[in-house]
Amino acid sequence: MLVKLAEVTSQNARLERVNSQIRLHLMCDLSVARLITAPSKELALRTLHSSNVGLHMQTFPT
Amino acid sequence: MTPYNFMFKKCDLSGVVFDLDYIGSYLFDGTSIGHVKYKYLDTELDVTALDDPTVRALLKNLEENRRYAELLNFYIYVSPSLQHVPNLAQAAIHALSGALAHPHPIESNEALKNIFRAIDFHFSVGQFRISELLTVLQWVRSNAIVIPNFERSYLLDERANYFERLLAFGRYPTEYLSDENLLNTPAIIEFVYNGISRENALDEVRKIFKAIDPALPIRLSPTPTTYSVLPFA
Repeated sequence: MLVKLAEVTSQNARLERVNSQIRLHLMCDLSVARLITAPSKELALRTLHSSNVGLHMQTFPT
Repeated sequence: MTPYNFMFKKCDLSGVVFDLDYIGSYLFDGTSIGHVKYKYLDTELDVTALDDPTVRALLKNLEENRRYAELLNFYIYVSPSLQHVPNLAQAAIHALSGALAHPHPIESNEALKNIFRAIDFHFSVGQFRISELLTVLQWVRSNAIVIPNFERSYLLDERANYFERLLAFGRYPTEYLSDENLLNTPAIIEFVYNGISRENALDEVRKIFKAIDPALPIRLSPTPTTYSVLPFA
């Protein structure tokens, strides 16, 4: 299945509420996951820094 | 071995003896320095003898002689064997700061260029992290504005532009991404959003993808901005 990552929706990502947080899980190739979580993560977090949103990313190979 | 300003590409340096005073002038690409030997003040040292007093004496010497690019390289090479060193971003800022304060304009410019060259090299081989580069860039940007010397101000600004383009369009070390086995290995990315609105959480993740899309160093699919995403079972 190919989707545009910029068009993530509740159909291709799983969301769950844990206490006061929303956890969003997206399943993809490990290669893609690595691309997203490092090194681009730092750029993304820097971009978001101004919006003052706490967002963390982690990869879990299955 | 005491020549100056060498780059070693894919060399086997086992047993080679380096003058510790020159090590900061070298760049090592695909070359391990784990088995080299060091000589300092005519005394041969084992790598395990790179103890704090020896290193600190050398750092002091480099500092006093305003050899700032070498100072930065030295930090990068010896930091794994030291107990207390500043992080590499701080080491780079220290070197840049020293170079800017150099009383001779030509030598100041030369030192700045050498430091940026060292940062560029170490970033390209993965020894200098993105977060460290961002910290240095922030410092460079803030100093480029306030420096009265136009030539140095321009140099800082130009280098900051260069590194920002590098970050935006990607020239990351990609060795760890090239493993074919990773292509078909399923993984889950977890995003943790501090809030309870699902739509806001989705929006923020979309923003992330939009932000990092041009920065991704390789394309896994022929269609830009499209990546292989597995459906949940």
